[in-house]
Amino acid sequence: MGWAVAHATHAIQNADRRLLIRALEELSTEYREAIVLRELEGLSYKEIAEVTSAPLGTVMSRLARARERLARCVAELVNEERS
Amino acid sequence: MMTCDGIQSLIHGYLDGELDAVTNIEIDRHLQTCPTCAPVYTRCRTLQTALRNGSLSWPPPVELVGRVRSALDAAHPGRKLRSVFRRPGLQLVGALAMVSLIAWGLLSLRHGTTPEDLIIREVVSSHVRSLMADHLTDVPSTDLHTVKPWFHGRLDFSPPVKSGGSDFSLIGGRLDYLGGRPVAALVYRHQQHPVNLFIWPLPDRSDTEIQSRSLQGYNLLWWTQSGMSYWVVSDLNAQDLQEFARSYR
Repeated sequence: MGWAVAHATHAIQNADRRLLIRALEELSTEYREAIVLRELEGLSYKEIAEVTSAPLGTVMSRLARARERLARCVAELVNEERS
Repeated sequence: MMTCDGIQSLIHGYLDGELDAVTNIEIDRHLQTCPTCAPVYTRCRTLQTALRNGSLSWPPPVELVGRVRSALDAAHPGRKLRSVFRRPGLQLVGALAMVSLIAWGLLSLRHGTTPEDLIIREVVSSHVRSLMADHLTDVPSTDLHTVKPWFHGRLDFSPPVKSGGSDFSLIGGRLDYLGGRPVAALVYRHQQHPVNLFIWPLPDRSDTEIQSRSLQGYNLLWWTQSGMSYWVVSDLNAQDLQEFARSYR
């Protein structure tokens, strides 16, 4: 677990724009929407809940899962490119 | 004290500045010393930085545009979206359009929103957060004389701490943050229903009757009395909650 987290952090630090976009493409629409609204549009959880008509709790858990998946995905793509 | 699992379930809210001040401080302290949670937080922050610095753009999902349009229609019947959003090939609209759509949509939704509406949303959000984070109380106690003094030195006012009547047991209090200021939160329980009562001073306001509203399945009551603003929120039915408010007054 500790090694995987450190590896993912290192991979993210070295990921370029193209790779981040590829990783975003791998996410489900729902997860991508959460990431885009929070990180690219800078909306608060409350604003995301308003815009997506989702309860606040769902926004929080969706964003957490989306980030986990995105981090894993970036690490896998970096591995792929190196191998 | 929270466990590593508890900390990690809140780490995204912490990263996004969405938690209450007390929880933030607890997570701060934990991250300074925990070899398991600190790397998880670093990974989350690194990802956030990469996404924000990456000059990324993304077209708005069609279904999201539909939802924003519906919300706008409800708020402003007859008002049209900008022409660019009515064009076929919406999925090709880029990041700029996304920014405009979201900003315009939110501004429109906010148009006509009263300060009371904003507090109502904040009160419900604080209530939900206190339940989700399993952080109902900073001072768990059923004793009025333990809960009231706990606030001394933590707030610039002394909240009236009273019994909630025979059906509502006081279970404690905590600090919270609403409307840009620290407030007292008293927590009561009626059977399995937690009730949050938020109190803060409003020295220049005259007393008001109890007002009510429902939002997201929660019932809210509020009133002003003796220079204090009181906001009650719970999933309890409106009638029992009124009983609580009357008894508290």
